[in-house]
Amino acid sequence: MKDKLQLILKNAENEIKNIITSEQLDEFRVKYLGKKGELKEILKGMGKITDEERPLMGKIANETREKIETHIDIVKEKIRAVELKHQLMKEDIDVTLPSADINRGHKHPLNVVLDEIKDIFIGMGYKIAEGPEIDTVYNNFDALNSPKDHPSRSLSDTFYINEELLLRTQTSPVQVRTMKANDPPIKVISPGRCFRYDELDATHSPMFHQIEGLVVDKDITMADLKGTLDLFAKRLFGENTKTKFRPHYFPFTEPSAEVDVSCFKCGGEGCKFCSNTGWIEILGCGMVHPNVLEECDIDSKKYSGFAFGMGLDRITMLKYEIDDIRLFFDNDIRFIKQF
Amino acid sequence: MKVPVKWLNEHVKIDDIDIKFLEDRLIMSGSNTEGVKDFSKNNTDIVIGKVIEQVKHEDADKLFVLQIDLGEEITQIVTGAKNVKVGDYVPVAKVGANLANGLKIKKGKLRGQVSNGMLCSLDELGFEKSVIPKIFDDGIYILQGEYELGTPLFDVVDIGDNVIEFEITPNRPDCLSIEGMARETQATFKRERKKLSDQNIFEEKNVKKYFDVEVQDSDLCPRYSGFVINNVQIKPSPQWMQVRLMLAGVRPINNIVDITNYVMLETGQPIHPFDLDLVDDKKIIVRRAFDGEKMTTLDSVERILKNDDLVIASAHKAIGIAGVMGGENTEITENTKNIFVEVANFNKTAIRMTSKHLGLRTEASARFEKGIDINRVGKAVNRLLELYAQLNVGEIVDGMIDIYPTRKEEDIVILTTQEVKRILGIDLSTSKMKEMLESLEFKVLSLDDNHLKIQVPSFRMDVLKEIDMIEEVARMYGYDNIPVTLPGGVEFGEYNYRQKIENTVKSTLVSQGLYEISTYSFVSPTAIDKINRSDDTSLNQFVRLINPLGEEYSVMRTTLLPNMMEVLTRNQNNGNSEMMAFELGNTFIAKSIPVVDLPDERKSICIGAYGKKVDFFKIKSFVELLFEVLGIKNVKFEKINDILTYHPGRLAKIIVDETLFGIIGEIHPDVMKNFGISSRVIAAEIDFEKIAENSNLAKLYEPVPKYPSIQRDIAILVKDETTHSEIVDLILKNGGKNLVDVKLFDIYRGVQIKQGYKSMAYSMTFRSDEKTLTDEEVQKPYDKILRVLEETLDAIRR
Repeated sequence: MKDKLQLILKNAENEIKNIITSEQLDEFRVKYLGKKGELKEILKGMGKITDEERPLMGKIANETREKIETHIDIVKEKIRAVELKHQLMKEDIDVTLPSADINRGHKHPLNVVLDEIKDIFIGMGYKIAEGPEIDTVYNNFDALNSPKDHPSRSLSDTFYINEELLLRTQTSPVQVRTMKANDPPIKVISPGRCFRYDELDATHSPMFHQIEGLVVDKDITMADLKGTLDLFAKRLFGENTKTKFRPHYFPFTEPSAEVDVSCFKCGGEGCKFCSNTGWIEILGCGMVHPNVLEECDIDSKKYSGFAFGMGLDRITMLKYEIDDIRLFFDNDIRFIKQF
Repeated sequence: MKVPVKWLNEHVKIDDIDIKFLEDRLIMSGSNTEGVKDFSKNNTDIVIGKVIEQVKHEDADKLFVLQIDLGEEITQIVTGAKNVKVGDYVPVAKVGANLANGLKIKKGKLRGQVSNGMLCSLDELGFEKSVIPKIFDDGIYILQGEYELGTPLFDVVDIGDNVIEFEITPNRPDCLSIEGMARETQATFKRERKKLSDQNIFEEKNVKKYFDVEVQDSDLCPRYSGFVINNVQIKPSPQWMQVRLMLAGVRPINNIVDITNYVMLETGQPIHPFDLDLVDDKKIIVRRAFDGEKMTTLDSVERILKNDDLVIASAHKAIGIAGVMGGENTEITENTKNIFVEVANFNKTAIRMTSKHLGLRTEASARFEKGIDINRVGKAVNRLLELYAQLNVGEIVDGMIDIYPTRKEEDIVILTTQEVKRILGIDLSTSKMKEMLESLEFKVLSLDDNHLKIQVPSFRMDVLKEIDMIEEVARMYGYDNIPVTLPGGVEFGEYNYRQKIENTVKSTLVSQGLYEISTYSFVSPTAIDKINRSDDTSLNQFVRLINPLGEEYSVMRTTLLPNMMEVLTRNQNNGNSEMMAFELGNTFIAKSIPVVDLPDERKSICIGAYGKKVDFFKIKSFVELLFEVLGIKNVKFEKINDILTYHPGRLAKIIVDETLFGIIGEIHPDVMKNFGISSRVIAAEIDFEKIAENSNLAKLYEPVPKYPSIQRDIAILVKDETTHSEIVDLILKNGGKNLVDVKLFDIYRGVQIKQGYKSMAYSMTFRSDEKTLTDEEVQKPYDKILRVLEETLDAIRR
């Protein structure tokens, strides 16, 4: 009997080498381990064995079965791997085919840059103040120390609704509103649409966008103004950006300055964007004129402040090298999708 | 303000300073420039030659063949210029020379005659037509005097001088003069300038024998002065003066006029000469014009005056518009014998108004309307007398008229170190500041450790208060030298709630593939007609501009839709096959017509789209998503058909808790035709203000369901006109507390369905938070739903 078992094992080991499909493996299992399989047949002969031999024979028979089962498991895994591979090969795809057609939308380029600027100032502790596009002559001019006969007030510079109302020419009226409604400390930027009487061409638009800033508190100095705008310029245009403050005149600030930043295209060496000067003018600023503070019910002896303003359209055009302001308002998707 | 550097150098020594450095330093001390024009830079190889022979070209009527003596050689040049004659000294561009106008001189032949160069006109040397003297208008520039032949032109004539063009800000009219810029240069470079004489010469002496003045309206003419020159000889002014005038942008005319312009440029004081023999009764009256009074100005235009205009008049007629332009009737001509030279000060507002209503802006009016120091008069008179004598123009009558009833007092300002520290953030001693201010010619009357008492010179009309003085200190100290600090105090930055909502709206729509657009706030009033809404009173409640750029930009928009339609149409016409867009912008509805108060300015969202993948439900899904993201619940779409902009069968109101938030629909074919767009357009208009008020970004955790749900489907036949929302409302109302969701999964019309009916199939989800539901617990509400649907809608279960 022992010999028979060994013969079965040997036969099985020989036979299993040739098995390559799961069907063949099933047949093999039935043949050797099935209810009527060869092993069962042999074990039927156990009755004829002496009681002394039985445990040993039983053990050998079990070992034979376990060995065959182990062989089956090994081959089974091999077959599964081969068959899966076949199946996956059949599911081959052309990965270069186009993907599902989903389009992301795009923000308007002016707002892409505006968001960037807002984030910089929010990071520096500013809130965002807003006001109406139609405002009063008082808020837009009178309260800002603008002389009554200043040319910017004329019908050829400013759009009027009537003698008291106009389309704001700057977002400074928002500063007036903010100062009148709040006590210092005030720290805001006011972005928004502005309007000036300019015919539309490649560099002018009767509607454009400004971002102004206002800080009013005790002990706010011109040094703070310089530090603030220097930091802002570095954040927006890069860490190596330098700023240059040139004396200038605005009715609502004194002292006033125009601010140049080192050209962020050429790094200051001179190129077409900076007209070979190495500098690009981007900001006007100054210390809030005491007349403006007083007009807005802020004690100019106790508080001081600074204000600044810049043109969003111009900065966006410089940043993206856009050469025609009209593109912003044409709204062609081939333009907008680039940002 | 164009400043020839050599002229400036006569007032303050700067010829040892590099021009670029000079410009940069002046910019940083407050005198911004628009650049430096270097007339010599682009002109090379131009020398002085003398015409020694002039013959007509044999084969060309209009050409002359000239022999030019260049000192070392005699060369032949062919020219078409008619104003040259033998003996003239002329600028000669030799072969190989470059000219400012871009011309490069080559050896040439003109009709067989060799030409070795070119004689230059002022135009070719880089001067604007408007500054070239009439006699050289179409010809060669002929030099006055004699020169060594062959000398480079720019070595002997100043026309190669550098000219700095300063951008003078409106607060500094005192800088609109060579003297003013010399003062700034003095302060910037700490170099003392040579001052113009200011001696007291204001005595009448003999002048009244020849002339008299009466100022009737001294409110508009605080000072009127002048003097008389008899037996004048009118001729061209000397070359050095002509050149300086041209460099400064003024056309030389004759000695009398040129001197007045020269002194105006030098001192900033406008001056006007009259032909004294043409002034009736030899008396000038300064008065307001009569309404409708007529006068012809020097430019031969008849002007109609108003009572607010100030005129210079003789006994019978106006002979000049004060501070603007003289009259033709007293103009200096070749025949002029005796002149009266006016040096006066006029009210700046009056001059501005007059200049504006006449549409006549002159060098004089531009200066007067900015304001001129009343004490300029003395300096100007001194300088005029000096130059008239120097150029030997005629017999200057001893004495002058000076009507100056109210003398201007100079202001006193106190400046403290504390204020300087508080505003500029720097510590400066009073002695240091005294030095700075004195270089600008402020008079420091006294000082201690903390205070300076300063007398403001009358030419600094912009300095009234301490802050103005601080500005002077700041620019003299140098903005560059002010330290860099950041404001103290702890403020936190953030978007406010409404701004967060706005950001969320934009990012949500962009995430769904929409493009953000930006269009003008002003539109054409026909925009509303184009969307067929002439019937709507509020949309036609326009805020109108008094002075629009044109009718198409004349009213503020009351809705964003017409602009959206324009943009979509333009994109379609540009060949973009599809587009989904939105704009978030303000609309303006007047509270009354005519507009009195600020209008109702509201933010609005407009969505618009066209293209293959766009239909009503796509846009509806964006709207629903938007409301979901913003936490606005109970959004309903209620069918309407009475807005003419939209397709009557494809239009809905967007309603939240009985309040109208907006509309959504397909654009009516008539409106599409009005804009010229051929693709169907779906649009939605939503009131942003309502959204902002009703949004709720706050989130609260709700437990994830513990017990499984049971799903039941129901399919019914209903009449075609029955809407989905009617069915859902009934299902939800009758489904009991465990019904948590209802979804439509099929609509079917077809052969098996009888005419006028449709099959609607819904899947309902039941779930309890307390236990696992049994079939019986779901069956009861299911039966009720079916019964109600049958009873209410005549539905038939399939």
